[in-house]
Amino acid sequence: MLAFATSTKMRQTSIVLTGLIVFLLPVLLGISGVLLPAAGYFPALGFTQFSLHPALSFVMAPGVGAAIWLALKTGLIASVLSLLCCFIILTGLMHDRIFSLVRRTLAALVAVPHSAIAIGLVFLLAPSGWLMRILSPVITGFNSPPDWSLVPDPYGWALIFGLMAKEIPFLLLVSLAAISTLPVRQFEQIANSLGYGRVATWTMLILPLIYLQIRLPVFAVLVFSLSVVDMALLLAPTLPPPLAILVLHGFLDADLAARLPASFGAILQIALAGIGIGIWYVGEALCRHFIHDWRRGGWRGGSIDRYLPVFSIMAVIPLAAACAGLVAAFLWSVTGSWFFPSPLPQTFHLIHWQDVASYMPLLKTSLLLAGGASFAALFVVLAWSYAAPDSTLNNRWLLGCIFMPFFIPQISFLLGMQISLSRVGLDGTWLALIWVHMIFILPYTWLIVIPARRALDRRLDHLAATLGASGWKRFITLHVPLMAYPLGTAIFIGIAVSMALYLPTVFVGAGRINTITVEAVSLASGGSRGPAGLAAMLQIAIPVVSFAIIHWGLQCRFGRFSGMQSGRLQ
Amino acid sequence: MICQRRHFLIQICAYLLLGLVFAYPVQSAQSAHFDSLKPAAKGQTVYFNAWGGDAKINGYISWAGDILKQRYDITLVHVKLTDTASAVSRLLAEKTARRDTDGTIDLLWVNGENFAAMKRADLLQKQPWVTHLPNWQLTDPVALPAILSDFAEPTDGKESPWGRAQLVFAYDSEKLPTPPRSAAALAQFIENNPGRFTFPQPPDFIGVSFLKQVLIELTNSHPSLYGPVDEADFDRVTAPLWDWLDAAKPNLWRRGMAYPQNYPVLRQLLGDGEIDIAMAFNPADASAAIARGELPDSVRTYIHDGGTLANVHFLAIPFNAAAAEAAQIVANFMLSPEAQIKKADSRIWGDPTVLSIPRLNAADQVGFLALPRGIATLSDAELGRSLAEPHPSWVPRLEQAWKQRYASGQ
Repeated sequence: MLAFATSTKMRQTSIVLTGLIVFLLPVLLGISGVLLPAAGYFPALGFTQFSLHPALSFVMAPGVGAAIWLALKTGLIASVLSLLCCFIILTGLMHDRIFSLVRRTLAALVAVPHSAIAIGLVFLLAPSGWLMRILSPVITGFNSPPDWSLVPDPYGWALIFGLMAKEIPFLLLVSLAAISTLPVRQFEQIANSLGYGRVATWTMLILPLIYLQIRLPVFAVLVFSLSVVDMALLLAPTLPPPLAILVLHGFLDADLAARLPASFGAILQIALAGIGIGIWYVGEALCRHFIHDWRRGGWRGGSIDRYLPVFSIMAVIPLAAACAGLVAAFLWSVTGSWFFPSPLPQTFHLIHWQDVASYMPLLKTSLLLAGGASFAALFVVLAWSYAAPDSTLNNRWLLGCIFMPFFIPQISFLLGMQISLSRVGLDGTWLALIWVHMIFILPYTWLIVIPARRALDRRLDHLAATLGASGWKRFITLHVPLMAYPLGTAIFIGIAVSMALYLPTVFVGAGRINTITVEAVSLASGGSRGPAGLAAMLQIAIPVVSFAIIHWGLQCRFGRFSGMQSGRLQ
Repeated sequence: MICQRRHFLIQICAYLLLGLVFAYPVQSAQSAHFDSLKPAAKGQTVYFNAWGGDAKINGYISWAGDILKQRYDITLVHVKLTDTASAVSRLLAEKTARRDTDGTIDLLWVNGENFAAMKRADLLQKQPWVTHLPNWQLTDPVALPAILSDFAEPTDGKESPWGRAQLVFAYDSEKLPTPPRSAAALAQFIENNPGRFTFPQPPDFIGVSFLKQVLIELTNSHPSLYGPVDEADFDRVTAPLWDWLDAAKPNLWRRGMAYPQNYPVLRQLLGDGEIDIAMAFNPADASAAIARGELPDSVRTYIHDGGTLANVHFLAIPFNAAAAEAAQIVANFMLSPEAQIKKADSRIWGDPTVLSIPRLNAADQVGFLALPRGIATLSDAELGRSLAEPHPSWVPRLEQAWKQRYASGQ
């Protein structure tokens, strides 16, 4: 008995330790890689003494205060509005026919990398953009585009809108996964029978339960929005840009000494994420208080339901704009020439699409990387969930490591990580890249698989065991079919997350391993809309095709278990 | 037209004669040294880090890759950068990690301040290698001194010239009959046409080049621009530039509150009709964009009457290149008449050659002269007036001063 206890204990410790080493170590190495330069120590450049100089020169640089304020403002507003829109859509449209339409675009929108959405939005909303071309010159009277500060605008609203277009679908997707574990219909029936309106029912009863389950992804959205790079490059104001862009410029400055103050900026970015999360906590407390008061007050709230359709439509606007932007991207990929104010391309051609073969190696790399990292993450999570008791899985340290990428801005540790990897000769290797992608995918896999594993009906398991099925056999014949949908969702989300990773691929891939996403951002920086539009289409292709295959495969193979399953792929 | 053709024929004959006299450089011990590289280079993979934002350039590099594979069994992998400084940054990371061999970059497309930064941080090959390249004999450092000094920084034989560039402006001749051909005329144009001019935001390469162009013009090529920046003098020398910018700012595109991030985006703004004048460092850029349908075919190019900035871009091999031998063979191939003719073709890329035409053999001279010029590309004679690049130390200093004045958005 004692021996058994120690071995369990040892197993628990070893799992927590592996978690620490696999997930925490690279991030810590990465952060230490910017901590030392931030403190003035960078021997390769001849800085061998600690000093406050990098910190001071970063803070004293023109526009830094405004850059920090801009990042905080856009990040917080974008996160709040995204969550709000997500909740409004769920409340207002969940049972509506429009929702099946929204739901169908979700997979595509989650899968589309940020840069592709940004490219599309710029083209849609700029003063010379598609909207203005449709309205000109008949309605607006413009023969050449007006000099309006629309995209990017000086206040960051374009960036906020772009972030919303990308984050609302993501939050909807995770919310739907959460909803599948809740008896929503019953809640509604009970609340209705007590006279509560729809808004009241959802706000007081259902949304808080959903929020509890999606809280970590919400933090991921918050930290990402506070430190976004690829989208900000296209949509944010540039004088000054948000903090993360200032840091990136520092890292990319030809004057190598600029890396020292930039490293301090990277540390500041972590602090900013901390401040953002702190403000969020306060907001959460206020909401809790408000809902609590409402519950106790007993107001049925029937009268606000009539505004719901208006708000629902407003909440869908960012999604519609993103879709229209993608349509524009497709149009550009087949456009010969298209000048203002023509509402549609003047000539079409397929030159760019004839080039598809040259993108094949990139597509193959992206697919291998996304698939490899997603399956690796799934393997790790499953292995842990079977090897470790629940207490280990709830271990704070382990959870802290796994969810680390949600809380630390990418820009803050990737350069340091690159230095560490290069020291052991691992940069630019498949091993390192799959590992890093896995670090970013694993939190999502965890959030999907662990609840599904816990929700397995233990009685079925016991029944199978009494019939003599071994552990392995029970896993294959019982657990996999029952968890088929969550497992499929985990793979799909993994692929989508991997496809969207830009900075990690650039820094860790060391240029040796390139994905279609890196190519797309590079083409977008080149300003040729045709190839950029094509690259955006190819970027979407992988996740959308994987979605279709996973969905169809699950339906064929495991469809007959549907009555016993939970967490269906949406 | 006939006159032009006759002129062309005479030119060909003249070059042919000159070619007969000069074309055959003596086979030297240098090329023997070069030949000894070939066995080691065979089978090597060269990771060529080069800006990847232009589909035409990418196509050219992959063409070169095919030939290198066939002839030398060298695999050329184009690592597409969005910013060359990121490669310099990676080399620095490798140096920090003491990775002195087997680095991730074998060949880098570079010039100006990135080269100066690499030189300062010792990120280049220890030994000079460029003058050993057989095709180096086809260049003429006397006629084109810029191949020996990159933005006034001596190349020390550590980067091989690849192509030439000159700042040219593009405008839509249907909307703007007479473009402003000097910094002073441009100031007037901006005042009369609010919101119709802008430039890429420094520290973008073209953006800073534009600042240098205006500075050189307004100060009549002040001699101190061609030496390291003298802090004591900086404010006085640059004062005319800041006056010019302060006056222009309220009438720039977006009232000077936002700038395009690079020149392709600037070109796109011209195509979209948001601005009237764009600029690029490649004289054939506008023609190529017209051919792709990105600019209207009424777009033409011009340079300022006093000349515009011109420079050379290079290929460098880092200190820790894993395939240094093969990288030299690649650099030599890129310098060959075959590769340079292809590159100068505006249908392929349109980048002017660094070779000296008189030093080529007759067939190659004809190859260059027979290249079609794009509809909007200026002739060599029109491009003739060029301004030398200031010392590279001016780039970071101008960037910093611009940032100090305009970056806070006020």
